Amino acid sequence: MKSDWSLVGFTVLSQAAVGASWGLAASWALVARRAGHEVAAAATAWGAAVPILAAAAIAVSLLHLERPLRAWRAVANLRRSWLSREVLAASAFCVAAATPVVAPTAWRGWLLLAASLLGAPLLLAMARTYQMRTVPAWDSWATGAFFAQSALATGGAVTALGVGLCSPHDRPGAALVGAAALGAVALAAGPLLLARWQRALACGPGAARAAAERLAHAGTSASARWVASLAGAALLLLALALESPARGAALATAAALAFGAELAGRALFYRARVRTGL
Amino acid sequence: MARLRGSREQGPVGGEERVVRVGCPAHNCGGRCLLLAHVRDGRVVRLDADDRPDALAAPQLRACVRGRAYLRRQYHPDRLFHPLRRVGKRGEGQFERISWDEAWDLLAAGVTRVRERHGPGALFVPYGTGAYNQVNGPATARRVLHLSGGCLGHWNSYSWAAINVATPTVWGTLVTGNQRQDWLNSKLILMWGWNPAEMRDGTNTDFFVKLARERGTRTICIDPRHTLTAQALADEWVPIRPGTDAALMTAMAHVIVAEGLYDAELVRTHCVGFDASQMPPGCEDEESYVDYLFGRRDGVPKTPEWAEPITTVPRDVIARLAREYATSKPAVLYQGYGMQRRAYGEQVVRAGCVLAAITGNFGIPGGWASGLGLQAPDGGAHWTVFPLGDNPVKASIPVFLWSEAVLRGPELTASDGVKGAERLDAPIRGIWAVASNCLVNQHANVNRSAAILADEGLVELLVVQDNFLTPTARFADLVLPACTQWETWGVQDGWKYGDEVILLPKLVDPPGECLSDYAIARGLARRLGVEAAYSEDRDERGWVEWCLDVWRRTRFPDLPTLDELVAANVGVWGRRVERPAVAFEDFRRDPLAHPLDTPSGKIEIFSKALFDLGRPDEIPAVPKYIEEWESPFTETSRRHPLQLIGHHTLQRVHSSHANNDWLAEAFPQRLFINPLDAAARGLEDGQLARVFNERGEVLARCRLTERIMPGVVDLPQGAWWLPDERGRDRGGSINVLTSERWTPLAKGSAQHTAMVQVEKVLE
Amino acid sequence: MTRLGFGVDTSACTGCKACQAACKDRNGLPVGVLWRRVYEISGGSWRREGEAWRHDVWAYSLSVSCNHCEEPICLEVCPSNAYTKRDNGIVAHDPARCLGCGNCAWACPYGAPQLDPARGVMTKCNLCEEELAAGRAPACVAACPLRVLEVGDREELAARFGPPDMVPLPDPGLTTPSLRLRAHPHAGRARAEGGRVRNREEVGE
Repeated sequence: MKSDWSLVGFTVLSQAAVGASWGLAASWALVARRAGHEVAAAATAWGAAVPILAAAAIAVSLLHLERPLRAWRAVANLRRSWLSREVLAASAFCVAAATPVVAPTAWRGWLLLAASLLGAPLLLAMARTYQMRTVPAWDSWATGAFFAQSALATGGAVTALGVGLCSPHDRPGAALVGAAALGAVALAAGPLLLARWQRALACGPGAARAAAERLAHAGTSASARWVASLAGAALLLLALALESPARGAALATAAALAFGAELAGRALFYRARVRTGL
Repeated sequence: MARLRGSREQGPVGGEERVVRVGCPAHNCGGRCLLLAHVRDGRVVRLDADDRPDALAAPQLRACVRGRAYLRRQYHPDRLFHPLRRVGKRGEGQFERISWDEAWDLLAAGVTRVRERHGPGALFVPYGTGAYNQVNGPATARRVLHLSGGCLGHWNSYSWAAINVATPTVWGTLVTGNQRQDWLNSKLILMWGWNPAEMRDGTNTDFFVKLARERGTRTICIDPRHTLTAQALADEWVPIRPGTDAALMTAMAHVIVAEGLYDAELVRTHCVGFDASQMPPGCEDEESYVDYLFGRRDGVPKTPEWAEPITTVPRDVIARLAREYATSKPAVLYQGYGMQRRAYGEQVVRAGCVLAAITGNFGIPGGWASGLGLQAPDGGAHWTVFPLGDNPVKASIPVFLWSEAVLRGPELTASDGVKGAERLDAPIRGIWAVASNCLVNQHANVNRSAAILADEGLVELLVVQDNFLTPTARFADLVLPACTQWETWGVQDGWKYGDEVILLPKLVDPPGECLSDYAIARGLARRLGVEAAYSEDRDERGWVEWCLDVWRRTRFPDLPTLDELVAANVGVWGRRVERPAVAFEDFRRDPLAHPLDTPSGKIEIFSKALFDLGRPDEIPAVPKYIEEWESPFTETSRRHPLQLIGHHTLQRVHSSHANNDWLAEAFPQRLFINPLDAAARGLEDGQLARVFNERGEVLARCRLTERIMPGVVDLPQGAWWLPDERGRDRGGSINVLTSERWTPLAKGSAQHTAMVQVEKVLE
Repeated sequence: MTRLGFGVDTSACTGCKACQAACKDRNGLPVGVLWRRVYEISGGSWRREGEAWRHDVWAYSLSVSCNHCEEPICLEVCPSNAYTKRDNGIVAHDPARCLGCGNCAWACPYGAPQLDPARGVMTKCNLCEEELAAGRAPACVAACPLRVLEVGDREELAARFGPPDMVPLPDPGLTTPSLRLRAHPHAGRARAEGGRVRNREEVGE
């Protein structure tokens, strides 16, 4: 139980991996198979980003453990512990996401699609892990909403970046437009969700109110969340109007802002960890 | 031997582990408890609670948090391990290691030199209650000095000076208490400045109060602080401005007399000086107690209306307290000791005794005569059994006046409390402090004491013998490493309520070169050529046997031998209290046949002996409220408006355990301040505060709490003085702020009478 | 089958912390690890009336350790199955299985599981299983100078003590703790006035 930052990193990175798998798989399934080779290349080439993000997430999560060499025991309580299930789901997703990278090209799209389907149970297990009945701020609809929103925002940005870099056309294709739009909407939704959650906490039981109180005094992270989210969303949309190489630079900056925004948001989420009772 | 029962036998248990029942090294905490020490590989590894049967007549002696955390002191890395000689200036704390031979040579040479230059009366072993019991501590040093030419003696104590002297002025004795089981017969207990939950005042005292409450006894706590006792053992808390308890008692007496609630017949037959009809011969025209109450001489009737602005207790509460106490029969008015460590501490003691007397609460089950309250029938514990030997120096000083004896020894006379001689022959020039942090940390006005000790032209020889380099030890020329009480043999009896003898068998060897106090003193005796007389060929264990013999002759005729006690591994031998003894039963029944040991043989509400002292302003013949020399009513309160008290915290026993990390974790040293006073100073909970007066300055973190009354701040006594480069104490030692001025009659500590200001410190 | 739990008569608990120190000694706990802690809850106010002070100050102490819950959330959230609910009700923790992830500490509403930083594992009260097996009371119970702390069958305790719902304890419905309390007379005021823990620095917060 070292610093919370490793878990901030773990959750944001693994959700980005899930989101990216969704974005890339969707691009491949909905667009690439019909529209041409660039998106297919993007989906399959950038598909490698998914296991990298997922593996990085797992690696970062180990930093949280006092006894990381015993990490393998973390799946010992699947019967009861959502944390065990989360660890299993994260590992399964990571392995599944890695298979397209080593598989023959023709299989990559299908394998990516398969891996992306495993993202859903991972997000579910993650949300359930945090929805403890003794931590009212987390035991809320907002936890699942935050995690899904975060996955779509960072995943959308990563997908847009991948598709954008692999599609040198001046006119953005449907995949790029879709990914950028999805990412921008999800990014912008982040701070709104946060505000809604804060309002709900302020009317909740004692520990929830204490969490709201803490959030009210979290100036820097909250401002960072707002600024990075809105700037990232705007830049994603702006990139559609730009030409290469400016578009690539804009997409890369937007992706960085998306990660920054979500890390800041997640830090706020952890700050709200006020347990009921003693 | 049927009574020597124990469920766990001494000897190998689970491998090489021994379990030994042993007395808690109590350091004068106010209790005497039993622990079960698990000893493995020469080390005490664990402590368990007393496991003997728990009965009302002989309850278990369960140790408090300090006993339970004792191993953190026993195995503290800062223990002294070797004799040390000072190499820097006094107080700098610079020392070099020397051998025991060198240390004893230096000690012997120093003692001899002081005697040759100034006479034996210039040597002094100060009051000390650190690692001591019957065969350890200052007594061992006094014996060798007595046998080798003598030293200045002392009388009285830091704890009980005023109550010790004032109680007999009313009752002729200190044995004014019933055995504690008798509290179960009381209807009402006024816990006046009394906090057994924290200062214990006898192991199980708080427990007996709890049992009494379970039987329906009502309890009221009168204290400036909402103590742990007030929280758990009181039906009501009456906060009172410190130093004004005598005013509240006086106003209660006024109500009781004015409303005829006193026992007129008993007063007539058992008291003197109540009213003009019973003044002692030669004092017929003097002010009687009733005269004082009704203001017949000074024109001030001592009504609740009079007492309200003094005490801050609302007048209706005063009247109700008076009626409750006078009509709830039998009732206990138990006087704590904090309020007598004040400017006119004698008055509050006498006033309490008089209330008990006129309401007829003496000599009956469930009653209590007030005063010191040593227990009937025999006064309870023996404070010193170990023989000190005959002291060729007959003079002794009140223990609190040691610094006066350093500064102006030969000027001190009987009027300063010198006993045994008209005046002192010499100032104190050699001090051997054993188990004592009293010279610097626990004596009043630390900065003054430190300056006195830093002057090598005053105290020429300063030897400190202790377990740690205490603030006092930092001033020593020679530091001698004493072992703890579990590293040698020892024995103790109960604290005040001494129904037990408690054994401290040697559990482990001392670390490093530590030696027992007895062995150190014996080493000096060898150098001075009196070893045979000193030791009588006994080692520490031999003196434990000697003590047991004394108790067998005087208190406990059935006390087994030491060998029997050790073999049975009982740790404690006690007397069951099936029918609690009641003080003054005979006197109550027939005062003429069983007179008190007072000049009149009766309860002296008016004391002719005090009258004859001729100091009516400070030592009146009837108990009076006297405004303190430093108080909210005096001029200095404008600069220093807050009253300072220092409760006995469970973090320490006086200054012992001050470095115990488990206890500091449990009860960190804080300045307790009422939120109203804190708000006026912009202080928030946990902030650093500056507490100061003209004597010094302490920096301490504050705890805001409604549990201390407005106008009063509480800095628990005993924290170690830790001056920074600007002389500000960062350790939280209250005595940086207290005054060395003494009480008029007992010449005792008035350390609780102190005014301060508190300010926020910008960090 | 006996299901063990603690009973505390808070009406006579002085807050002396002998239980806390005895626990630390019995279990060799470092500074900062408090399997048993004592909370001070106090409040009230002062009112000047002429020269007099009137007050309605109140306070009580609450000694709390692991409550060996019937629905132990530690056991639910622990990923490595380090917790076991024994037949006698004791919730035991096996440090050999512990990752030091801290999930139990996040979840437990009593703050019972605490990290031993030196060993890198969580630790907590095991109700002095060894002492119980030897027919002796847990260290804290045996230590209590006021004899207000008890161990016993939770149903039997329930007959003599009230529910564990004093401020600042959590809703007992969350984990069904095996703790019963005799309420301090001021428990109601704490509830009515939103009583606060006043010694947070002493309870590891």
